[in-house]
Amino acid sequence: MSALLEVEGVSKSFGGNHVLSDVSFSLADGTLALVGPNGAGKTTLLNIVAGQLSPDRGAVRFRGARIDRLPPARIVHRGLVKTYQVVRPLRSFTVAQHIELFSRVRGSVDAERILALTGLGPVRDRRAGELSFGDLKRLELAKALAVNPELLLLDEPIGGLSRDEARRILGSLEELKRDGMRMIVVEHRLLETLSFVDQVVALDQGRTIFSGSPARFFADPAVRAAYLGGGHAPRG
Amino acid sequence: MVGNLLLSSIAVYGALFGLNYALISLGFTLVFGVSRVLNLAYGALYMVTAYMVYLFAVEWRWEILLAALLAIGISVLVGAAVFLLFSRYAPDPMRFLLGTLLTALLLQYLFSYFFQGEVGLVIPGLAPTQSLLVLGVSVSPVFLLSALVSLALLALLWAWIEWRPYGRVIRAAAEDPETASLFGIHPARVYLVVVLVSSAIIGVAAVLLVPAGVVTPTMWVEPFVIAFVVAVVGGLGKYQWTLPAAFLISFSQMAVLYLTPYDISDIVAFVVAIAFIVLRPQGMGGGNHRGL
Amino acid sequence: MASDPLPSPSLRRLVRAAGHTLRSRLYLATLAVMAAFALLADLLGSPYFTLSLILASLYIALAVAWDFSSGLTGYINFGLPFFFGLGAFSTGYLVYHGLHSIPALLALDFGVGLVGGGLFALPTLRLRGPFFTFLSLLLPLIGTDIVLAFWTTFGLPTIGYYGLPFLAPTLEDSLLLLSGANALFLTGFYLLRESRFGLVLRGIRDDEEVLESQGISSFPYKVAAFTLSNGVVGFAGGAYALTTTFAGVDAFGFLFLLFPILIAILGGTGEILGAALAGYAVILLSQYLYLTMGSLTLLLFAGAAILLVLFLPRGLLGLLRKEAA
Repeated sequence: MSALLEVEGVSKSFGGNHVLSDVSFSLADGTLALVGPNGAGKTTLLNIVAGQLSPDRGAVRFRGARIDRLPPARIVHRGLVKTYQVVRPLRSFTVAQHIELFSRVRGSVDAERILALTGLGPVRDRRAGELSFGDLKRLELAKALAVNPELLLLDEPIGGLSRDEARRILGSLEELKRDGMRMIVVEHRLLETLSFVDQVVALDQGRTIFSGSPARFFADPAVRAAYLGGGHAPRG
Repeated sequence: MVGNLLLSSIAVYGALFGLNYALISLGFTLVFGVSRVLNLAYGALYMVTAYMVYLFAVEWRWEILLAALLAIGISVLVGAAVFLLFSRYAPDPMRFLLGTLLTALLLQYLFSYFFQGEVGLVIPGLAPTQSLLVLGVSVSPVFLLSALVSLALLALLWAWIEWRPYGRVIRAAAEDPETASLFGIHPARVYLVVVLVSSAIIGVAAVLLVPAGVVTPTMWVEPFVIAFVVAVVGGLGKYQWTLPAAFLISFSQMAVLYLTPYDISDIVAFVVAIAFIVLRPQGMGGGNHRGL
Repeated sequence: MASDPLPSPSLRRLVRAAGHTLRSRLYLATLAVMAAFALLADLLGSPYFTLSLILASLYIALAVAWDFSSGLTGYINFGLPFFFGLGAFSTGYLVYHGLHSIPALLALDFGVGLVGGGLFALPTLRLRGPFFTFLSLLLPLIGTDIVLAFWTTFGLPTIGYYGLPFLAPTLEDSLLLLSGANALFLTGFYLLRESRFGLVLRGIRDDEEVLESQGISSFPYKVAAFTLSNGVVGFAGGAYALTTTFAGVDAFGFLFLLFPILIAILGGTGEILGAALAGYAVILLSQYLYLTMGSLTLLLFAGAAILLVLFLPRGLLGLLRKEAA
């Protein structure tokens, strides 16, 4: 079985600063966490996969076809969508209108199901400008689900949330996983995230230092060196 | 022989108009380069100056030099007032554009109300009226004087921004206002200084150039179009490219004017601007980064 | 939008949704006001009043068209007087070349607006908002020059076209025709605003990048909105020429920008219906003031527009919505 997403030898630098050097990984099924200390290049990699940046070298394939030169909107049509780390709602839109707007992008979706899954049902008719931060984080997820994706790229879906709020989103993500949704998650909060992923790719200074199962992750010497030696402790 | 006269006409008028276009546009490109706002009331300051000169020098019969200086002062005041009124909306460019365009219209209606019924107003100039011959081409001293002043102002401004200590402050505020404010620079104050300078420049342009034409309530349009086209061609905000851009436009216009039967200077300028926007949006100056 | 599937629901569902939209109380009230004014003009039989209402109708068409494209998307189009003038001039040109059928003239003016608007929108709507706005402003500024250039080049009449036919036999009939046309435009734009198309346009105003990153290319929507909007502007320009029976460079005047913007903002940007109601108020007031204070009126309205932009950018209807929320 060929992989759903293949990232092959991707490099990217900004003004002589190597942010990513020859990064490769692939995802066939399930969920993958992209982890690493601050400045490791995780968000840059996610932006490259989503087409918001183009790589200097390397290729990104989705279902076997190159997508790394496509504009972001076209990539979404292929079935791949990314959430923003800093929430970006359409401020004058209600929650329901967000789903309505994007639900025609890739065939119809069940708006009620998305509202139920994200727990946004009670605020469905509120404008984004009036929502709490936790609701906005859930809206970021609902908005992405509205395009009926095959692969969801989540940039810090629980960043900035309290433990309880984070638990609610993680609950939604676990439910999505049970429904067979494939996901790539970038997250700092390892303990909470790793509980539901099948595969971990760790980056440090733009290079892949680990790729494998969550169970092996904490025992890996390179990971320990990057986190403990670099002065970054896993938060959670 | 005819060919020679044609060519020298293109050369002389192209150079003169280019310098005058630069004089008209300099303030506009400078303000955009430093503060990144597109001030649609810019052309209106040209009109304000012209009407004030008319009021002081013609209606009140003051000395022309005094009238001119006072009119430039009023242009500076109006420019500062417009900036202070709308600058807080600069983060919402649509509101800023609407507000400044409506201001230009307000001034247009103001002058057409207070000077209604008076058509074809003319103001006295600072230059002699006798035409001169340059390379066999007859040239009005009005344009010659303004071209010389344009050169002088371009040089002065360049020296001020590149060499003087305050120039460094301006460049810092233009490149990165946030970082600049960490070093005790108040970007808003720097923007105001630049607006004052640019309002004075367009005032000087009006004092020098309007005597060659008439004073009307719609006269703000022409300098505004010129400033905009020059700014686009030079690369918005690249004040160093004002003169090359102005020359490109003036020489294209003169070439079309003298080599074809069409008198379509404005359309030529518009086409040059569209071509740059579509094919080379960064303008002659190139680069996409913020700053001067 | 090759891969954006067409709305799949059946025509019946679409019609039902439209029917639901059109049962809105504000929409029905707006139509009632338009009908009431047309009726009132018929009863009073005052030429000045009827002419004022005709003028109001023309400005309402402009304001609604502007509000649909610029109010909804936030891409401000200052080119209104250019496409208005274009409509006026094509009317003159066509009449001078033997076309006298009023419906055909108006339809062609609409077409000229569509084509002109589309040709302008295609290259410029790829630019960021402020640059689009800037370029659109150049159009009316050089509109006069373009016309004069064509005149001298092709030997057309030097002042303008006069002796054009009247829109309708009586002023009251003209008003009725324009009110009917406005009802049509208003209904169309209002339905579009309430549809997914309108939702995309509003999304452009909020955050265009989010649309792109979620699979909606905004460009075709913007082009469609501006093309359609300028079609209506072209129509209004033609109707103006057929009201004054003259097409000259005055059709490029900034009045045809100032009043539509003032009306659209007062009615609440992007609200469509508000613009129709505000249009009657603004134009009737300006016509009344013009009788007593002449050209001072313009100064007053320009000042009022500035105050609106500064203090009430969402207009009256926007303010009411905020209070209600």
